[in-house]
Amino acid sequence: MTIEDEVRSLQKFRMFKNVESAKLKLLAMISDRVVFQPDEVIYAQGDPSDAVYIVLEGQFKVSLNTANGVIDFAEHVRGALLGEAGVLCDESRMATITAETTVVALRLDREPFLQLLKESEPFNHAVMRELGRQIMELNNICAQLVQRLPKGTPAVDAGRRIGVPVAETAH
Amino acid sequence: MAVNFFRYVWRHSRREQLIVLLYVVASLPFYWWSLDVPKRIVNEAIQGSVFAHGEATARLFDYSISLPSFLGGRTYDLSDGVMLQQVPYLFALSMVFLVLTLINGWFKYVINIRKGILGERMLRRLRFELFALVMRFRPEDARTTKSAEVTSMIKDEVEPIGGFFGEAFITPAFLGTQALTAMAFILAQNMWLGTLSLSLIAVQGVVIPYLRREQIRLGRMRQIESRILAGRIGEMVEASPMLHAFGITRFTSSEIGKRLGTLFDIRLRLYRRKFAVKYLNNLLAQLTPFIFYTLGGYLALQGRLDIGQLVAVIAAYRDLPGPIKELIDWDQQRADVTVKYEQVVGAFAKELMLTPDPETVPAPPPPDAPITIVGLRVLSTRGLVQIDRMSAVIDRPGRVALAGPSGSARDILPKVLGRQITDYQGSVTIGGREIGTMSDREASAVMLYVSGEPYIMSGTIRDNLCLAMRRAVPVPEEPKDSIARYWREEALQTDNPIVSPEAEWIDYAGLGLSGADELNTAIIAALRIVRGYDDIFRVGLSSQLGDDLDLPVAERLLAARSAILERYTQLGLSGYVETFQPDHFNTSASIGENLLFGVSIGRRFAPENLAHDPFVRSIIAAEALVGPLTAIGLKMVETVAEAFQGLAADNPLRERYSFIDEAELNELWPQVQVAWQRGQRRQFSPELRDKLISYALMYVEPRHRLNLVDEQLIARVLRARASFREFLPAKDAGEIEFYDTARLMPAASIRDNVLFGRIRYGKAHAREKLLAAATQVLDELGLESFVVSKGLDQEAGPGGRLLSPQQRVTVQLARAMLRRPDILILDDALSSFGSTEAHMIMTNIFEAMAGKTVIAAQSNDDDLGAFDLVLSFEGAKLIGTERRGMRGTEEQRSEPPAVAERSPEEAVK
Repeated sequence: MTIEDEVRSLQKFRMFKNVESAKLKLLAMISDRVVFQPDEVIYAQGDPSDAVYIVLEGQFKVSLNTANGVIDFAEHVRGALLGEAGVLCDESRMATITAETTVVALRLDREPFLQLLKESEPFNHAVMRELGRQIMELNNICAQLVQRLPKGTPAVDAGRRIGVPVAETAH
Repeated sequence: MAVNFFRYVWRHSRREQLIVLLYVVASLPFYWWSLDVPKRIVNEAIQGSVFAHGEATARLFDYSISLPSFLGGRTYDLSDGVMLQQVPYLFALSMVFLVLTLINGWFKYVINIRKGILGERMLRRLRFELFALVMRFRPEDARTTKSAEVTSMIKDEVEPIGGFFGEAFITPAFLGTQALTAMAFILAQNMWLGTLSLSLIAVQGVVIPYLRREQIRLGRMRQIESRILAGRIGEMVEASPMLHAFGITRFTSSEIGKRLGTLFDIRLRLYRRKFAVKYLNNLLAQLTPFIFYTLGGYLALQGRLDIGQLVAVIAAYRDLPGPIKELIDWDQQRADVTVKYEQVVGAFAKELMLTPDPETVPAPPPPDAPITIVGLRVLSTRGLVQIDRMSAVIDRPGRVALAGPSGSARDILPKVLGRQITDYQGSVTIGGREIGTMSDREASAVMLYVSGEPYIMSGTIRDNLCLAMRRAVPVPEEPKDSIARYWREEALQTDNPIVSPEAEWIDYAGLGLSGADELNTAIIAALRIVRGYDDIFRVGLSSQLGDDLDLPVAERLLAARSAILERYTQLGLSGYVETFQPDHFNTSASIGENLLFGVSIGRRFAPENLAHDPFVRSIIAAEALVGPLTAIGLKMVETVAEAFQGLAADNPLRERYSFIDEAELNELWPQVQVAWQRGQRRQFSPELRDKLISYALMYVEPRHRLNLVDEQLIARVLRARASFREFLPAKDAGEIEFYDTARLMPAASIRDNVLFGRIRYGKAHAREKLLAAATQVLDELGLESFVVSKGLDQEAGPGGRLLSPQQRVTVQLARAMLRRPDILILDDALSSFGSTEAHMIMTNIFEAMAGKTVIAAQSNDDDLGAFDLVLSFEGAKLIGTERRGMRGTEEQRSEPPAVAERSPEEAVK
């Protein structure tokens, strides 16, 4: 796959609708093309947020390790931006992303990503819109879940994290 | 150390001085004799006074001793001598003169050498004593001392003192006796003339030193100014990065200029005075003969003075000015040197010094003796209260946190405990022993203080780590040969240490190690605790392999190559790496690297110079690569121009294509556009073509992804690779090391040698996984310590300049962990690390120090759950003591008794 092919793929995404192709070409040129095999971890909960991934093809699943076990959110979204929240908020990864099928993505390191946000206003807007879209979808999901809760359940605390780090081997 | 110079010299070099004095005295008769003989040669031999009465021969060498009357008055004839005619007489006397001259010369040689050696020995002793004094400065004094000043004092200021050590007693003795003899001779001839000359000399002797007092004062000023200049220059060089950053170098230059001007002025005044005094001295010296001629001649004409006497007096007086002048010069030198000596010794003598190491070290305090603090009060140099009457008991073992806001007493208490502040009121004791007065040896056996300041010295990382362990005192061994014996003798004579720095100073026993081989393991363990192991291992992997390998190590490294590949296949990582194979194109390496297929030694075949090298270009031309490479270069340039349009030249986004220089591009762009439009590539100028080819050689398909590498190109590059190797002139063989599966490459890093390929693009986190697996294989093959050794051999530079700040602190912490002290005091030591990293290091340290005491200064925001005892501070006061049994539960919380009385100083403040 060449830069040209990647740019064509990117142009098809709703997210990059208003971004000019020269900037998409720049995006492709400063990223690495990475391929993940099925069941390969793209990034794990607790890892440092060092890059942003733009998935060109494939499906992945999102899972969260809590004290009560692993929660899976099966998601199939193409053109998804992965990992931008951790990079923007300077936090370690909140969830684990695992490839379900073969995933082809563009991997953009943290610094170039932040630099590109400065350089290209359309790209900046595209990222913001994508985040906004994710928030709206999550609101929907949240509303549906709250509907299912029995009456009288106490409210949920957004500041409380239920993610528990996976046991690590110190070296 | 004696403040009086002469007392110091006499005390330490008595014996030598007396020996040289004996030589001097022994040489005197020969000296007089050699003055006497020429007179005899002229009078007796040449003018023939002994042959005056017609004798043909005269007696020579007849000696007799006559005893004075009170011993009997007898005469003993020692020898009868020989009868010689005039000419032989002359020759005999001349021979005697020659022999005497040789003897005199020999005496002079011996005396000068002995004086010189004496001076140098004393100088060595003096310098060592000064150095030992500096090493005993209290931390408070050491902080205000400028190292450049101390260096200047020990090295330069005492140099002239060294020259004077030999002269101190001998010269006045020698010259004094000469002058006295001549003086006595003159007095014997004529009382009046004698007294006259005596009084004139007295005038010289009094007036000149008085005039020289001003010189001494100026000399003192000059010495101090010189020292300050050295100190300031040292400071400015140290701080030069800061000076450059703020652009204030001109200001600092003007200060140095002013100081040099002051020095010049002092020197000028010194010169003026010195030469004025010299002139006056000479004048007085010449005055006396004038008086002799006029007054003495008058007396002679009057018949009151014998002409012979007058001549003798004048002749004797001619012998006087020399010694007198030299004596006066000696006096000047004495004044100079005494001032210098007093200045230097005064600067090194501090009121209070650290307790010196005792001969026998007392037993260490018991391991569970608590640290008792009673009424501790610490004032800063300006009188501010930094700790206000604190009392506490810290039980051992345990983990103690000193919590509080930054700048409060929690920053000061570790310094008191760690002997960085020895000037405090109240008492801090361990097992009954006051910490402030413990000697180095005692204290370092029990506790270690680690701050954020790493104190790395020049040398390798290993040197720095081992430095912390060199506290054993080696038994001085018997010298093996005459050179060793000589060194030892000299050291003994000057009170210098007799154990060489190359002896075994590492305290293996104290660390529980059996010898040098276990040392490596201990170092690795210490590095793991402070989480610096990975870093050192990585440094070791990146360091050059080098030529000097043991054969077994080399074999294992070669074996590692295939072993690592096998491991990768086992772990499913083989797709992550592309190894170098002689007849395959490595898609993860650039076109240039594929062509070269080797490691460049030196600059000629370095990637940036590759395209311009004539030999390489000839190969490229021969394999018809010019066209394809130019096309590739052109495509790259077009892509860059389009995508990076509007980006600044130094924008970090350009990093991937950083080898395409924006400025160069702008120059060549018009040509490119013209050729584009015309669609003809042949129109390119040679320099444009070279540029494009050089870009093409840096192209890596998976990284740049412009789809420019096809089968045809690969085939040509492979052929070019073969031709390059085949036709490389023999004289250039040293510039490159070709990749060879069966051989190691000394010029490449260990990692490149062992991986022997490139990591593929397109796999995330490939590097870490591959290196982790490779590290394991290296461990299994027993090469771990080899790689770590290479890492430890990295130079740290003066002050650790060549290491990153975290690496420096890691070395300091590793030193502490190597020693595994009973009490570890951490004074903000982990501040250069991020909070997660610092937390992990702390956890490791706690684990390693189980059963021992760790005292750490923490801020209020930190998680204090892991500590057994938390002392909380607010400002200068201790506001709370929390003792926890198990981690997390709080057993007691106690407030200190309210401080009822306030001391008068505080009330005033």
